[in-house]
Amino acid sequence: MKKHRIAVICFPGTNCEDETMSALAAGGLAAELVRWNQPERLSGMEGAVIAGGWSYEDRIRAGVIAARDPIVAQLRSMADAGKPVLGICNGAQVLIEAGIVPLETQDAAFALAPNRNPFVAGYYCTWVCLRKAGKNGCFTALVDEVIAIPIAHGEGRFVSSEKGLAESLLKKGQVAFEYCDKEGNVAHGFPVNPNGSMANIAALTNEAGNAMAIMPHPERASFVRQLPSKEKGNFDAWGSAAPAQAIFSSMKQYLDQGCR
Amino acid sequence: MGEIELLVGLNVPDTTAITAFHTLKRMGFSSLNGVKRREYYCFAVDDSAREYEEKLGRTDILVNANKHSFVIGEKGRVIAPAGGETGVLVTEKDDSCSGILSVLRERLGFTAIYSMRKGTLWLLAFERQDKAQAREIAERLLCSRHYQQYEVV
Repeated sequence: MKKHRIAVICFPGTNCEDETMSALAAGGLAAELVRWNQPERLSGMEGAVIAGGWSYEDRIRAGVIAARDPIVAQLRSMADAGKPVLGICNGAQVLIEAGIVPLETQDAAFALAPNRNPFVAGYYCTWVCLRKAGKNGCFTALVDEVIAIPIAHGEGRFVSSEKGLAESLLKKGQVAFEYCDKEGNVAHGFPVNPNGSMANIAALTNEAGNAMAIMPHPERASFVRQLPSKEKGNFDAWGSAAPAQAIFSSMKQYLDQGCR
Repeated sequence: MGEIELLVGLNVPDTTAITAFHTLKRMGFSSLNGVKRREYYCFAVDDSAREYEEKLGRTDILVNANKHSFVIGEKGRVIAPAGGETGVLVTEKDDSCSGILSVLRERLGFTAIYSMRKGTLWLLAFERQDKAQAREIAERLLCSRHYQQYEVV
């Protein structure tokens, strides 16, 4: 069976493209690297992932320059057409700055502000737990209720100046993942919420659910070998799927079902 | 009691300012002729802090003499856009700068500083001062209304 073609978008400074392509391939998708200045290569693609890292050194604010690149206008069209568009970490910052997530507007309804954490200023990396909060959709249908996943960012705090918007998105199922403890309890405050995000938001989607901005890195938790040492177990199992790979296999299932 | 402002600029080419300039041109701000950027700090100090004006510029954490130049002085006397330039000062809405403040107070002995703010001063060069365009540029690129604020100076 022919595999669905997914573009992995690289901006100057992206550094997670290899892991992202491996995770997509393991999820049953055909990943192709597309650079920011090759927007014409998006035609024929059935979905896109903006990989993590940096874009333009995160000058001004993380993701804001890339969000004004011509290729992002095409990603907006892909999202409007129902194709899956995923932004991981810096990719999430690009989707939020572009306004593609969560309200599909030209003006960003949210921002990813510098982390607020009582112990560490700026960049912070650790393993966290996520709880599926939204409706089962394009990126979440096959995901367990609670998954462990790493974060690594300096500007990952979901904030909005629009009162009640976070709560409204939660009600509408557009908060795909929330930070939680190992048991799945959404406890507010550090360390469960590692960056001070409003309403513990770790990932938001657009209204249709086919575009998602996620700050943690599913591509870094897609294989058993990537898990923390005590969870790796037998060496023979290191190549097998870890829970976060289900985000990519959910994407495949969504495409198999004709983007429904 | 008073306030001291510190502006820190790069002596080497400022890639952030250059990127901002090219992005704004691409966004259609054709009358823009250039963009400069300065890191901005404002310290609330008590009266015993007169000597800080010189000392603050010599702390390696705010100014690196190898690549930065700085201007420091009483609030209101430091930000002085050149002819044709319009300044946009972007600051975070609720940033207490607790990390830098504790280093300045507890490790470097600047005990007369009791609070501080930081931000970025953008200097936008037009044919002549254009506050309306500066506001539009702030809202469309330089400032995120969700956690930042700006003033045109």
